[in-house]
Amino acid sequence: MVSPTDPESEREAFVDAFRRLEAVPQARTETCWKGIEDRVAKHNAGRWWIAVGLAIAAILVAAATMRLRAPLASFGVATGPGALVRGSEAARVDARGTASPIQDEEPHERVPDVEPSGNAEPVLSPDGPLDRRQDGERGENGTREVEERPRALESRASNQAFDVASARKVQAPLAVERGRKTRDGASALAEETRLFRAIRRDLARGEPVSALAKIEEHARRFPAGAFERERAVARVQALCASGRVAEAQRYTADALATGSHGGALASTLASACAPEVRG
Amino acid sequence: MKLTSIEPIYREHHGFVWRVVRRFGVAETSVDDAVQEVFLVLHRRQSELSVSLADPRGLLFGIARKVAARVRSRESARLPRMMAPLERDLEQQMEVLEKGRVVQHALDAMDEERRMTFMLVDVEGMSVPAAADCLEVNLNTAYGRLRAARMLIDKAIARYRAGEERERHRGESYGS
Repeated sequence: MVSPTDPESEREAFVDAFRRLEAVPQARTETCWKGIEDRVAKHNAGRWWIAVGLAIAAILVAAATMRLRAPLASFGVATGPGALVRGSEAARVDARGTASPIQDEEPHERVPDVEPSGNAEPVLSPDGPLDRRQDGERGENGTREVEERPRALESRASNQAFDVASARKVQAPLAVERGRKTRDGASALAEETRLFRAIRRDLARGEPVSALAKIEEHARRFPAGAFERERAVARVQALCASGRVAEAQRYTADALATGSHGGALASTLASACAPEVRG
Repeated sequence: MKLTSIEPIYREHHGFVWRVVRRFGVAETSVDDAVQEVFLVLHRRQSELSVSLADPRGLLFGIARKVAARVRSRESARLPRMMAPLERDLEQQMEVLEKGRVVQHALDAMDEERRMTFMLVDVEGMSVPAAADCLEVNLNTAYGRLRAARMLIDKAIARYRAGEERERHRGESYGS
């Protein structure tokens, strides 16, 4: 048997009690997993809609581009590498792929040299640099863009999740505030513990009336204290021991209705008021 | 990659992540969301699992620390008390509750470095080198913090025992 004064063993006993205090109920584990599944499903559904939207946009831009070639060709526009494009009545494609007529005297737009590979055809894009596409590669580019977008969103979300600087900034002030609050909290907890032990002593001595008086005092002074649930159990025990079975039953029923420790009180009622409850 | 591939890790380490998130000061009302966020991040970073298959707690701890920081900065966080599961024997339950609260309270009063070192080694059973790796400190620093945390816990236990002894000698009661 381990010596009770062995600090390491005593610490281990207290830590073991702490582990039991902090054990996570299985129901909570299951609920949390369902929450994760729901969030992943919603995220994937969102990505699917983004992918569909981008694919449609890519198709529209490609279609508008193809429509633009005929008018350009009719004005003798050479669409090979290094060609100058003269716009007079040529349609201009806006960012959404819809064509609108341009004014006369439009400045010439130079098409920069394209790498001499395949059948590269430069495409006018008034809002940005030219979008070079190879024959047969348009669909692939559109697809690539769609695939990369969700990864970019994820990356931003991940980066937000890993903001080490903000983690460090929060650490120190919280510790100071916590220290101040827990000093007051420590004395309140000690006082609450002392009073609750007195309740237990009265119950153990068969003095339920005295226990009930202390329970009322405990409830008044520590309404949301550390022993809230245990106080409810002690109240049912004291009521049963005083012969106030109907009151114990009403109290338990109310707790069941409001979801406040109802299950625990019901089992206490069954054991503490057993002969009366069984009738 | 599929969510089901991390389910075994979730089942085994959900409690660990839950406790770590709580010890980082996330409020009771937010802890479930924070835990979900940790495993969602893990799901997105599954390719790193091959590095930490032996013990993914290091990776989980790192993710949990950052998620907890983000959650805490969004809301006013406090270290909430835990409600112990009720046991059949109220006396036994009370003993668990009181002793557990002594440790809980002592941890709440510590600075975060010591608290998390103690959590990982003495509560979660990690080796000191693994804990040092999680906390991104060298081994000597981890040992130093663990020693300091243990001293604080021992002092809290001694105060608790002294209080019990005083009550026994005085026969303290409230109006009886």
